[in-house]
Order: sequence, then C-alpha cells, then structure tokens
Amino acid sequence: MTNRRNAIGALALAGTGGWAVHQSLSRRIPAKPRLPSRVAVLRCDSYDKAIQVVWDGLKLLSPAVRGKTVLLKPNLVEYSSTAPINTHPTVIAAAVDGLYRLGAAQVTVGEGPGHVRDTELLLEECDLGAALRDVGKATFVDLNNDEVHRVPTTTSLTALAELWLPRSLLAADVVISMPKIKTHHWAGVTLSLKNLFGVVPGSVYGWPKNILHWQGIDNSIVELAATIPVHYVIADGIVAMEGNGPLHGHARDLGCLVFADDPVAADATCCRLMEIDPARIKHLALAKSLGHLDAENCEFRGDNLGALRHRFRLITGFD
Amino acid sequence: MDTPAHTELRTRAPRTIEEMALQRLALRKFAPNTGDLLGAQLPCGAWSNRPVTAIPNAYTTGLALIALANNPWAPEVRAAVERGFSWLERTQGREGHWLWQWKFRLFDRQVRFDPSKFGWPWVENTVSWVAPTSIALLAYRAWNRPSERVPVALAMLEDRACSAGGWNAGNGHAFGVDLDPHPDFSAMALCALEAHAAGEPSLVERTARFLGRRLEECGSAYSLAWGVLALQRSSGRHLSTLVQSLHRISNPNAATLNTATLALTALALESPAFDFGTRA
Repeated sequence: MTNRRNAIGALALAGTGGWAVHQSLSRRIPAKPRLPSRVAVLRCDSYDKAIQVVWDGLKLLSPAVRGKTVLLKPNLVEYSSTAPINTHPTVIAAAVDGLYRLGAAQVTVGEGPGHVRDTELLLEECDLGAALRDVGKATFVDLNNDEVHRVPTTTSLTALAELWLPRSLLAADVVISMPKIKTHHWAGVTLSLKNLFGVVPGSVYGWPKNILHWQGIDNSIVELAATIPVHYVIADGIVAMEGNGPLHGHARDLGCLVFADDPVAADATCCRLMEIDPARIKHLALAKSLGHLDAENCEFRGDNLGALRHRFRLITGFD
Repeated sequence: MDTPAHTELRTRAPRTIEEMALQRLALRKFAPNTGDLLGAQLPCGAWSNRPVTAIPNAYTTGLALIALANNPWAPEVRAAVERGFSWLERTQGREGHWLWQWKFRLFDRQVRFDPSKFGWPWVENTVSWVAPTSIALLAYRAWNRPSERVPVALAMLEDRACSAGGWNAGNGHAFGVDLDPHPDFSAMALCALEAHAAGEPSLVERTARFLGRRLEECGSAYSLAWGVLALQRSSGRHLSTLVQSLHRISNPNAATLNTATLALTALALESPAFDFGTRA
C-alpha cells in the first residue's frame, strides 16, 4: 500500500512538475495578438493541376505582396527519385508566377539544405533549377552561403542568445514558408515551422545544423518561429509522406494544397488533414501563442477539410 | 597548368575562411600569401568560417591549417599552427564524453553508431560529423603531426560509412534504414583515409565505385572536383572521365562558379590533382 501511495505521489509530483515546466516554457514565448487566421485547403490530386490550384489559393489568400520583395522558403532536403521529400518544383514555380501576377516586386526562392552542401546538384536533380528557369524572373539563393547578420533570439527557450541569419531572409518584406507535408521521426510532423531549420546557415553552423538539435528540436523550432516572421504558408500536400519522415517515409496521396496567413494555423490544419491531434505535437503546443492552434479561431475557405482527411502513420514509438 | 578556374580565381575576394583557404591553396604557386589567413585566426586558435560570427569551426580550422602547410612559412606561421592544433586537440564531438556515450548507448539508439569512435564537430558542443573530421585528419597528415585523436577519428569514419560505400554528413544507418552516401562527404572521407593509409580495402573500393557511378552524369563542378581529388589515388578507371567532365563544365562557366568551387576545380585540374594529405 505504501509503495502504491508513493508511486501515486511520485506520478502526481512528476505531472505537476511537467505542467509547471510547460507553463514556464509557454510564458517565455511572446504572445502575438491576432485576428482570426485565414486558412484555405484546396483539393489538388495531381501536380499537373498545381499551377491553377496555386493561383486559386493565392487569390483566396490575397497576400499583401504588391510592390514587395518576397522570399519563398521551400523544403529541399535531399534528392530521391522515389520518395516525396521535397516541396514539388511545380508548386514552387507556380507560387513564383502567381506572386508576380499579384504585383510582387521581386520573388526569391531561398533554401539552405541541412544535409547537402552541393545545393546546385540538389537543385538540378530535383528539377527546381529547370522549373525556375522556365518561370523566369525567379532567383534562387543558397541560404547556407548567404551573407549573415546577427539576430537576437526572442524566447530563451534555447540557450542561443543570438542567431546568425541570412541577409536574403532578413531583407525580404514578405516570407512565405512552403513545406512538404510530412511526418517526422523526431518532431512528429515537419511543416511550415520545422521548415525554418533551413534558414539557419550551414556556413556558420555546419551540415547538419546540429546546434539546433542539441538545443532541443521542439524548442529550436519555436525559437526560430518566434524570431523569424513567417507571413504566409503554402504547403504541398498533393503527395505527402507518412511514417519515417522526413526522408524515408512512404508516399501518401493527400491530394491538397494548404494556404494560410498564420504558420501555426497552417500546421495545425495540416495535422488535422493527417488526423494527428496538433496539441499532441510538442512544438505546435508550445507555439500556440504565436498563432491559432484551435480551428475555432480560423476562417476556413476552399474545400471541406473533412473530405480530404487521411489517417497518417507516425513512426513506431513516437509519443 | 593555368586553367580558366585559376584565372577567374585571381579576381575573387573570398567571403569565408573556407573560400580563403581553398583560394590560397589553389594559387599557392602563383601568389603565395598567408597573411590574411593568419590575421583571421581567433584568439582560441581556431578559425571561424564567417569571421564576423567568431564561432570556431573545426572544418574551417582544418582547411586553414592545410593552406598554411602549403604556403611559404612566415616566422609567425609556426605559432599560429601550434595554436590551431591545440584547439583541434581539445575540441571533440560531444559523444567523446563518457556522459553522452552513456546516453547514446542506453537511451538514444535510433541512429546506429559507436560513440567511443569520435572525431570533430562543425562547431563546439555538437557531435562529430564526417566533413570536419575528414578535413581535420587531412590537416594532421599535411603537418605530419602525431596525435592520439587521429586513430580514433579514422575509426569513427569507418564506423559511420554507408553500407553501400561512401559517406553522408554523418551516419550510415538510422531508424532502421540504411542511409545514402553523398559525393562530397564521401570524397572528403576517402581523401582522409587514404592520406593516413587507413580504411578497409573493401570500403575504399566500394566508395570509389560509388563516386565513379554517382558522378558519371553529374553537372555540378563542386561534387566533380571533390570526386577527382578523392579518386586520384584509388581509381584510374573513372578518373579521366571525371576530369573531362570537370573541364567541360568549368571552363566555359568559371565566372558563374562560387569561389570555393572554383578553387576546388583548380586543385582538381592540376596535373596530378592536388593531394590534401601531403605538404607541397
């Protein structure tokens, strides 16, 4: 009986401690007062249709880009001829084209791959180089090797008081995160917030950006999200990935693109599309003061979410 | 031989220490100069790849030491080199500490590696990775400098190799899956093993085969240059094809290549190709 009482006491203590730590971590993140977030989920069952659907989504989202410089941050990790690892080049090129049609002054595509130093090889092998040449007017910047500037971090969730970040990111008027919708073996999901790992320059921190892992992946994701303004999200879920993502999961037809003006709302919506409770994803739960995690605070446009949901498998043992 | 890469390289102002060290190496016969490298050394003895950040970097420190080994020695070079190696000696991947070894052995086992075999991290307070370990090993070889760290780091490279040969950034197996190698990391590790006359012959052979196959249709001068630099010792079979490809890609496009790629290209197109593990 004593043992059981002790065990219950220890569990209660651990639970209270965990709750206190979570409250303490959450309080370190500056809350941003927000209007309801705009989220549009549009059915798109093939990359052949992506150009039109991206344009439809941009019109629904109506991003404020007229006369502004825009940085598109896709998710380019590694090339694979079989696995849907990267944001599809057709979606990226369609976004470039659409943003120019909406009056953007300059659209730059920027990425700093975490595992690959040869960005030129990656661009060619995943066909993004060719897609951008076809669109014209789009420049690509390797964020791993861009000029860097010191930026103080804002949350103290990590021990990093400052980050050195690329000039192209800091100078852009509008930043659009363009993730591939995937599950992730460490973080649960990799969406618009986790995509920010790619802006941390390898020429300062190495390949991969292991300093972020050692600060805690979830804490680092939220630190980056609080430090770097992401204005809009265009997420590629036409073919997504489940299981052992971000590299070795299985392709899964989700058949949609997600557009939003709030990265937290976008990622929470992507989670719901994958039938994953967003509150179960630690970095999303931590980031709730940076945007709207709850669907009640979102204005949904486009297609019905319910009809597009698919249950995604997370890697065994993820909790 | 003066190639278009050499000519273009003379016009470049390096933005990083990696670019500076590689440029100094590539132009060592034409414009020997180490003053700027010496001036960029941090008080701790390391070099930061981006001097403005002052973040010590083992990969960059290794490259700077190799560049210093291949340029005429000013009296101050010896002291700078001592301080550089002193920093390398006391900097190790986090898994080198018993506490983290314990963590990786008991709890954190999704990535398969032997934490007792460690090398160098990119930056302090992180684990060992293939590129900084390979380049640091080449620096030890270029200065013919004995160290207890060298055999441990060579063992780390062998431990982290991919099953099909070659290396990626750091691990050959994670979450139950064999990971794919990358050309540049494979080439760096192969250079390091061969410079120290280490490495299982079958691993060297598999890596050479991987590089030859992977780079056959490669359109990137950076990866091709690393491939040529690595294969010069181990394989004549693919070498001439890769050299021709590198000439074809780099000669008309020298002006568009970044400075590090230009310098690697110039080094790879020397005859024979530059050997990172020996001092000129």
